[in-house]
Amino acid sequence: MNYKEEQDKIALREITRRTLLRETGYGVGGLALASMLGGNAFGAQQKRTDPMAVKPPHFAPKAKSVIYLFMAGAPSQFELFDLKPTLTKFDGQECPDDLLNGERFAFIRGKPKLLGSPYKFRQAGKSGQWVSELMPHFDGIADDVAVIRSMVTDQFNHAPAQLFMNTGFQLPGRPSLGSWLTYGLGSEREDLPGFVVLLSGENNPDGGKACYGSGFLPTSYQGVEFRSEGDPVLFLQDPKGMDRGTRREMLDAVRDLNRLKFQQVLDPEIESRIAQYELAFRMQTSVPELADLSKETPETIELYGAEPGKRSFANNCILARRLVERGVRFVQLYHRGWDNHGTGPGDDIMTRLPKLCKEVDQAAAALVMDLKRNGLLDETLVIWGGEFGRTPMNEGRGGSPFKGRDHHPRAFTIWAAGGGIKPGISLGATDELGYNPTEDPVHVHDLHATILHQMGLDHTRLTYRYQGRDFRLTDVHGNVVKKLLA
Amino acid sequence: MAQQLRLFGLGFLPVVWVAFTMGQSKPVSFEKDLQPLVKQKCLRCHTGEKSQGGLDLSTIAGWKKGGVSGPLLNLKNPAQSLLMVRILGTDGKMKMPMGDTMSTAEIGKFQAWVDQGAKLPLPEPSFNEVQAIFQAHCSGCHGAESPKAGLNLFTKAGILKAIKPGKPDESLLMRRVLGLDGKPQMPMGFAPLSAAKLDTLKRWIAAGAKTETKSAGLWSFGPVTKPVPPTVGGTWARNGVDKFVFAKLQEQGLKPSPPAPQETLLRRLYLDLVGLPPSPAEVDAYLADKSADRYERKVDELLKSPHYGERQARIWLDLSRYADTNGFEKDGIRTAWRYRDWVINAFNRNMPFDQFTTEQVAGDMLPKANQDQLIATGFLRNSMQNMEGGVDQAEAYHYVIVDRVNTTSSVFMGATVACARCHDHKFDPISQKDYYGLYALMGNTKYEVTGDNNVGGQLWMEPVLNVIPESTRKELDEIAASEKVASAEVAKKKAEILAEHKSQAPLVETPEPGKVELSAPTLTASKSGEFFLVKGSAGTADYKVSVSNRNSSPTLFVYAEPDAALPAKGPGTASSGNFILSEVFLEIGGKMYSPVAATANITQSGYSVHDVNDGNVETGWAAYNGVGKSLAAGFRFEGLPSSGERKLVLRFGSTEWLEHRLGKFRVTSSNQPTALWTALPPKASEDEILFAHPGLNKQNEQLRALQRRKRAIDRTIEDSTALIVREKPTTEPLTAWLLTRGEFMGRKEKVPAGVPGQLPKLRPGERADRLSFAKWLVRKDNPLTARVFVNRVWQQYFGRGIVETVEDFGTQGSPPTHPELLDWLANEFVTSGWNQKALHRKIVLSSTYRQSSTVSQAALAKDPKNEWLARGPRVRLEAELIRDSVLSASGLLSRKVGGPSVFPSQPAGVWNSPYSGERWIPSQGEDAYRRGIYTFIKRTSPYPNFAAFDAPSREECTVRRSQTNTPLQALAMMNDATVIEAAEALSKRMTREGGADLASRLKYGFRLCTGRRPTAAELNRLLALAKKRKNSLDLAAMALLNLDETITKE
Repeated sequence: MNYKEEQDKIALREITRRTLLRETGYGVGGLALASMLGGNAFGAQQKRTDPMAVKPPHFAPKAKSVIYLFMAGAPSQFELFDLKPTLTKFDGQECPDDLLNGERFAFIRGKPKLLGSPYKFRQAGKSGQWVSELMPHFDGIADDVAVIRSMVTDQFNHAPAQLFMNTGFQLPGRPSLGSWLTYGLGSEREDLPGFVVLLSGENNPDGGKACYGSGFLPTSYQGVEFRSEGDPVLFLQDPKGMDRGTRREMLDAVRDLNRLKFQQVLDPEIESRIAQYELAFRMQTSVPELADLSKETPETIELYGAEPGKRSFANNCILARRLVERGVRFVQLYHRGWDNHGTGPGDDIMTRLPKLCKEVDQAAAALVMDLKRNGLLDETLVIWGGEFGRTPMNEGRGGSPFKGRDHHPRAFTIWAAGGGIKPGISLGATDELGYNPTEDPVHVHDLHATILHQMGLDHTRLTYRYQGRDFRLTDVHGNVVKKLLA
Repeated sequence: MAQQLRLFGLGFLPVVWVAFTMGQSKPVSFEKDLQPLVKQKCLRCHTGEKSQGGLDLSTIAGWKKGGVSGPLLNLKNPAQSLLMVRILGTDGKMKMPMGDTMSTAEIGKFQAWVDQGAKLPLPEPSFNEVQAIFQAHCSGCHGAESPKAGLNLFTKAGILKAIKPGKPDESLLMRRVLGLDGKPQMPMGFAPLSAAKLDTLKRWIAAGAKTETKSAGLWSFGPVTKPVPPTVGGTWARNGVDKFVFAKLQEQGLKPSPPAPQETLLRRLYLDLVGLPPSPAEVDAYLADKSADRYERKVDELLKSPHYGERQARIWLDLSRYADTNGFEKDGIRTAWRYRDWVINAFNRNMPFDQFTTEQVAGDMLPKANQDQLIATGFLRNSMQNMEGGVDQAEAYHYVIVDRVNTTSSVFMGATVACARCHDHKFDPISQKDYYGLYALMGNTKYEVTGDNNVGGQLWMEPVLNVIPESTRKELDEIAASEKVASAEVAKKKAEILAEHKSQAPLVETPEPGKVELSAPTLTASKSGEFFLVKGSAGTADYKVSVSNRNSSPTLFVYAEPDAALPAKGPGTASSGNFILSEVFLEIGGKMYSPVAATANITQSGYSVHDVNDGNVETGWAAYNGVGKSLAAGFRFEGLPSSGERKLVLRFGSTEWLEHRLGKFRVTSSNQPTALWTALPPKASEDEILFAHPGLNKQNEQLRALQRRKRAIDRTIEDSTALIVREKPTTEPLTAWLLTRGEFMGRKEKVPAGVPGQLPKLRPGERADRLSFAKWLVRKDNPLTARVFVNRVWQQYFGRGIVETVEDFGTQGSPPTHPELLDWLANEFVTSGWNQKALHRKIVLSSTYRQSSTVSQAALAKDPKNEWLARGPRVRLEAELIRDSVLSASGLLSRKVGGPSVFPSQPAGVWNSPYSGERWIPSQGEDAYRRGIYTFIKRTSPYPNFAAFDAPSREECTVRRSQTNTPLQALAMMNDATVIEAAEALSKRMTREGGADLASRLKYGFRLCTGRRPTAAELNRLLALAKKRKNSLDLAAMALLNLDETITKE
């Protein structure tokens, strides 16, 4: 699909539509009025022409939406999922040389010591997935998720790795996964953004807004932040003292004046602007309704461990469900804080890590369970994971006595659920020290190819022509991970 | 070959239809049967775009298009085809071929071909088209990585293995994509190729499967031609621009639009040249001016405005990815605005574009580079810098150079060089070696390694320039000169003093055995010989010792002794035996006099005896190293009154170190002017000797004042730096590692610095470095730089370039719509001495630019994107210009040019970077209302209002912004605090300046926003809104700022 061709088609369709409007006696106002009332002027036949208009997938999709729980900072697979008895056995011993030769680390210098996980592991659910005591709620979803124990990335610093995990490239400038999806498929709801981002944890992602930017795609496809302070969407709230009636009066005047202008110059952009203002007016109602958790039952609030009104991962998980319920295509949650180097108690695996798990474990499990009982899990792909893994060695930066691990791109663990993913399986494995994958390595490009595939898109065909080249999310790489598919 | 011309040959009589269509039922091939005939009979007159009747029969496109009389072929009714009408002369006009004849059989061929449906051959598919099919459908399995079945469709050899040129039916590739031979149809697992694509492949093979790519003859790599403007357009055409545009309009069967209304045109001109709308007063003055050249004079006036530079810089700063932070995780603040000021000034001064280019790409390498030329290299330094802990700095620096290569080639060469970082360019003639040749040219820049790699904290820092404004530089020069004089005087005096000290007279002093008063009642003083012994506990206290000396410039000495009665034997009263003498005064008649000089025999580091007159009780003389020893200090006073009782005040005031007083001491006085100096121990250092001598004070004070002034200036300069690059000095030829697949760890071979091989070479004997590269960019035979620049300038006026893909002049970009116009503009630009203002002037003076942007239904259907320019541009304003317009209409706008970035209001909580305590603190006063170009740009968190209106994050070079129309934009215009504040101001301004009645006020507001007067219907609608609000203008003002027209150039 070429965006330029697409836009040309839209432009032509627009002309046809306008001709039709004139011939049927509808002016712009008639159309605007009809869409204001929540319907389409031409019922099912009227097609949306905005960039977010629904576009057909390449083939029948398994999932309609994606919720990506991005664990920014990179959680330790050794403390959560990847059980390594051998590592525990050699805890405190020097790391073998052959693992260190030619290797670049972010912070480890000299000869580090191996670090066995201090946490107990158990097998959860009927499927018996291995998981540590830091994730007690995982039992509830173990039979619904596929745990990928052999993820591989190319980057070992936060900003480049987060950009890589989100855009397939280590520098800013490429479109993110959510942008590609909304570019390829559009979004069903006109009055909500197609790609929503929710932030919690210590601070914003290291890669900045480029993690959910549209890169060289039109900016309509960039992720829209739903904020936990102030307006949920920037500039949503009318100024103090302005009621809905007054806003409507002003917008009516703007619409009429724009319509008069349109009659003078016939620029279709004016019609589009009229429509965008009507959409904005509706968003002012639909977004607060969406963000209002007070309609959730106490049981649901408790299930997630949410505290309405606070900035928390649990609240964002409920919001994510509400968003996909309403047809939003891609919801991404960022929770930052997993960067447990062990330079002090504030970033070690003994004190800090258990706190983070408490912030995330229950809500993430609740989300999967809640989607399932609402019948949404089949059509919603949920992903949980960070930008890279952690080293099997203790970092000990500057001789720190606190336990922690450095960045490790070669092997880490994520999980996926719903949206046509095989439930209750473990994919891939790592060597005895958890250093390299030994089975079914899944590269970031493969994960991207698989996510697009479940959404009905062929990653080799979803392209955009920019600077003379057809770009893809997966560049020239990526294979759909067939073993993950139900 | 020219045929012999027989004028007005009689030809033949009208022929019976049947006669030549009989026996022609066998298919007539255009290529085999008709083309030789056409060549022989028609092409003499009908070749090329300027041929007779506008009919070009030398190309298939020409056949399809026809000439000025209309289409050549009528497929519904072949007999009516103009082709046959003209050949047969059935319209009574001269028969074709004019001046020649055709035989019945020859005419029969034409007729039969027309009867058979006039099938024109499809043009032979190019190898590029075929490659594009492979790339879109086959790359997943048959790409370069690990091609399935050993078939790699990304190499010529691979492709040729799968086909038999000339024989599509026997080619394996065709059979597979058609699903023949019982094998699965390719591409496996995907929809089969479309019929059109299958046909393309088939025709390409049938035509011999030629693998020359168009790129060998890429138009943009060819020299800039010097086209002459065609003599068309009549009086409409004001200059060359119009002639070229008119010729294309003619070809397309389009006509130019009437000129835009004066008010509309004036606003368009203001927005284009200075980025601000005209005020109603400016509009009125313009309309009142009845002179014939008022438009030209207005153009010249605006080109001279300081805001012209701001408007042009707005665009250039996207290209040069200007930002105020480093990007990536830390995204710390950098002081980069000097570069922005440089750009604005360069545009305002109309710096020729060749100089503009050279200074930005290699200003540091110019002979005797001045401060401005160094600041210009900020163009290169605008790259992001990854300062995240644990980043491999060599890799981070590598990406900085990569960014510089990509940006420079995009900005000046319009070339998609970036592709060649990982592999030879698939479509354009740029190889991977070419890429690393450019990398070598640009990668020899200096950096300093700082930080500790052992804790992952290493950083490679590039140079920072302390920018010194001209006036400050003068002041510094003056200070330096005075300092020189003062230093010389001091040095002379010093020599004298030192010489004198060797032959000093003995110290004459008189004991002052008087009384001591203690300020704390808990303290007691007793006499122990000549000494006072003070006991007790009091925290802090003053001792006042009566002094009999009445000299106007005496020196008083304080001697202290250890004593067994004191803690640690003293001489101090603190448990350590130490003390702090905070302040010393001489109290005379109730007045306090401070010493002008002091000295001591033993001093603890950090507690100088010189601090006893600084007014700070926490500092003063202490001597931890003097515990248990005899101590002495002298204090010289000057200019004392002769009458009045004198008391020496010793203040022990430190609240941090309580009980730090002297325990055992005595006081003496001396009248010798050099007493302090004389009292110095024999081993005193030169510094001590000099300091203690009263004669040096005056000279020293002068010097110190100069130094204080310099330090104050230095502090202001600290905040005034610029980011620059500096070339590493080396005479070795520059090289760079070619990196396999562009991966940092994939070093393959060293390649020499150089420019891409398919473009003109560097001059022989010229060292291949950044400076020669910069000069090469603006050499007259460089085919790209001028074309690329004029094309971007064109885009800024018409919303799209002559080459629509302004960023890509390669084979995959769009071809130019007006190739001659592009070359003409480029050529004129270079011959004008790269005069930028002249180029802008030429464009805005054209009739093409002055057309109305009103579009008719028919014109919209025929040319929806306005490629052929039959109407003026109507384009939404850029994000920053929307802010400028809104503030300007409301009267809030500050027109201050230049300076550091500002922080206009933005919603709370937008900034939240990892590890950074930096916060957005809104600017106050004028700086809250500056033009958008001055808004602080944080790369990981762009200014929300601008982001909504498609402003890029400036993380990399942006050549073309997207133009979207979204509900988030509507929300930003409805509710951003800036717009709301502007609406309030606008409402007040309408009341204040808009006249007495409601209608005139609304009219005035409308003019402030749109530059024109409202129509009756528009005014009525505004009146209705205001009347419903009890004549309040608040909602009307908001509505006006939200009009589509307010944020649109039309």
